[in-house]
Amino acid sequence: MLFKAGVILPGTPLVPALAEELVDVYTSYNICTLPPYTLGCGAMPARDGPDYRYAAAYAGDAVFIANRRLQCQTWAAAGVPAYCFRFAAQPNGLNIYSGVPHFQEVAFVFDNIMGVGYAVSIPFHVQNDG
Amino acid sequence: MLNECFYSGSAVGFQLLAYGGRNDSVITRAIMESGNSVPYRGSYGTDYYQPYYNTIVNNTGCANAVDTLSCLRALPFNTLNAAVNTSAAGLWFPTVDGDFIRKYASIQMSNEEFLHVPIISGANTDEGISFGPAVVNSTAEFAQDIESMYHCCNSR
Repeated sequence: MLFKAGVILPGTPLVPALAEELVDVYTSYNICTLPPYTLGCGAMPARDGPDYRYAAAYAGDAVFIANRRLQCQTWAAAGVPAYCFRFAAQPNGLNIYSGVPHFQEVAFVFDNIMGVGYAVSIPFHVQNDG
Repeated sequence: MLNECFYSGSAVGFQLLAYGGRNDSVITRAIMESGNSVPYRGSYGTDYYQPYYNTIVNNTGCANAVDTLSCLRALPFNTLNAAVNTSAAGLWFPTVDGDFIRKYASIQMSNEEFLHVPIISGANTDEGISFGPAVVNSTAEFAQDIESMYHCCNSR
């Protein structure tokens, strides 16, 4: 079991001083640029709370995005080829509050243009051009 | 020769750092999607997991066995599954054991102790929608989420 209800990844508590610093940094960002990027300057549903997008930005960076950057910088600094991507094409079936979350690139990687395994929302009816 | 392509790129990421980055000429290149050689969860040593292991052993009647691991391995699936499927059993992540995982990934990477093979590594724009908190009503809640990493879970 990888995930358990109630746990936010990365799941490692940080000391309060570092948490405060991270909050200062992330709340200084232009909210229109934060996840979900499909929302732009629109508003999330009220139930998510006014600071939802700042926390989502931090969570994404902490779980995969910053990590990928460090790996790619490390490989490049050692002279080893590293081809690194940010996947930003929203497949069919997701709404503006979802952006391009986890797993959505998989249908593209496997060229699953027929939507095999998808009961609804065939991914390749792409809504935007990424 | 193996070209590794794996969803849960984290699993591939660990392979690239395995045994201090020793090159056994088994893996020649690697592809990682949403996961990489920097684990998304802080790494711990075996001391961190020992109490969880003990809990599982105690929950299965293996506590009196001379070899507790062999006892666990011989259990019926349902017995073992019931023992591990409780919060007291903890969450298991790769452990810094000094062998397969020699050091923290950050240290190995700064020492160039990784497999020097070409990679593709990626992530999606809105990973935080999948892995972030569901409700954040204030900056204080945001800070609390980071400090505790325990709030609620996103179902979106």
